[in-house]
This record gives sequence, structure tokens and C-alpha cells, in this order.
Amino acid sequence: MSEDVAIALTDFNKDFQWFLRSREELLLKYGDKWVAIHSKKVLDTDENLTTLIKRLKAKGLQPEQTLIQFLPKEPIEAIL
Amino acid sequence: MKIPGYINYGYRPPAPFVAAAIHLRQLNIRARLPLLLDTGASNTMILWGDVERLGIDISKMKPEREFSGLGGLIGAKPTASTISLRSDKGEPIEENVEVHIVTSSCPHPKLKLLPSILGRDIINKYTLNYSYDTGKVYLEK
Repeated sequence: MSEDVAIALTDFNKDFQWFLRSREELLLKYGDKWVAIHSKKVLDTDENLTTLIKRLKAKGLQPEQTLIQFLPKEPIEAIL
Repeated sequence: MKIPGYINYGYRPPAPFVAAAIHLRQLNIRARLPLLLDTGASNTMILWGDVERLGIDISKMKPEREFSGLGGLIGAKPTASTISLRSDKGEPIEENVEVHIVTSSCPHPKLKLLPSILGRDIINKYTLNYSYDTGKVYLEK
């Protein structure tokens, strides 16, 4: 694994932990929206994933490297 | 060596996840994504939400395998990949596997909410420790 990937993975772990810890707070602002997070900051939000991805790309950001999560007002119930 | 995971309370009941970096070598795509630790899934799989986020054009992909689930049958394309995980001491851990990319079109917008999955093809190489009561989840080798 290159050093770049190791650093990226460390940063991504931090962002994911931050998202999970901040979930309740974020939910109050962005309930039922997709949120894009990088460096423990909300970059953008939208109700529609496709729209959010297009906007991130237009800003020169890389959605595939960005944590994008849906914040459901009601927890998701699923059997995969 | 332990790979820490996280419990996501956005699911009912809450669900265990691990953060991963993925290199889909055949498609030359590198991405970062949370993966649901799913002992019920035979294979690691990229589902619709992440297919869109990663910019994968599934309309040009030929399904080579079929998977059955509660939602019915879905087609998937096995793709040579490297999944990178991070140990609690910051050590990098790589797993070379065929990640399956769903090729069936998304049957309902709500299914984009489903996370991609770390399946038994990788989980079986580790001991999975999961205690919801103590809030701890990790893979151990």
C-alpha cells in the first residue's frame, strides 16, 4: 500500500468516525438529505444523490474520495 | 492485529461498518467507502449508491454472476480489486479480491440508500468481534 493510500485511509476513518459521532446534530440540520463530508466538514447536501454528485464535480471535488452518507430521519431497516 | 470498525446508528437495529479504500484495478478507479460488515453476504459488493458515487457506468457492463437475496436476483460483474483497511496501530492491510459490482439497474430509488458490503470472501479471513452492548466491532487476524 502506498503511503498516499495509508494517509487517505486514515483521513477517511476520521471523517467516518466524525460523521457517526455527529449524526444526531447533523440530523437536525440535514434530515433526509445526502451529505458530503471531507476533513470533518459538511461540504454540501442535497435530497438527491445524483444532484449532489453533479454539484461536487462542478466544484472540482471528487465524489469517490468524499464521504457521502444519507441522514434518514427514521433509521433504515433493511435485510441484505 | 485489529481492524477497528464502527457502529452506525442510522440503521435499525444499528449496523457494523468498516472504513475502506478500494482500488478497482480493472476499471482504474480508486475510492474510499464505508462497508457494511455482512456475514450474510457471500461476496464483497458495490451497490447502487456507491456505483453512482464512483462514476461506474453499469450500462456497459456484462453481468457474469447472479446473486439471490430477499429482493430477488441481481446481476453482478466480478472485478479484480484491492481493498485496503487500516489497523488500530495505523498499519495498512490489503486484501486482493474480486469485488462484485451490481450491474442490474436500481429497481427503486430507495435502494440507493443501501451501503456497499464487505462479505464473507474477506470476513472469513478474520475473526469478527462484535459487541453491540460495549459498542465495539473489529476484525482480527
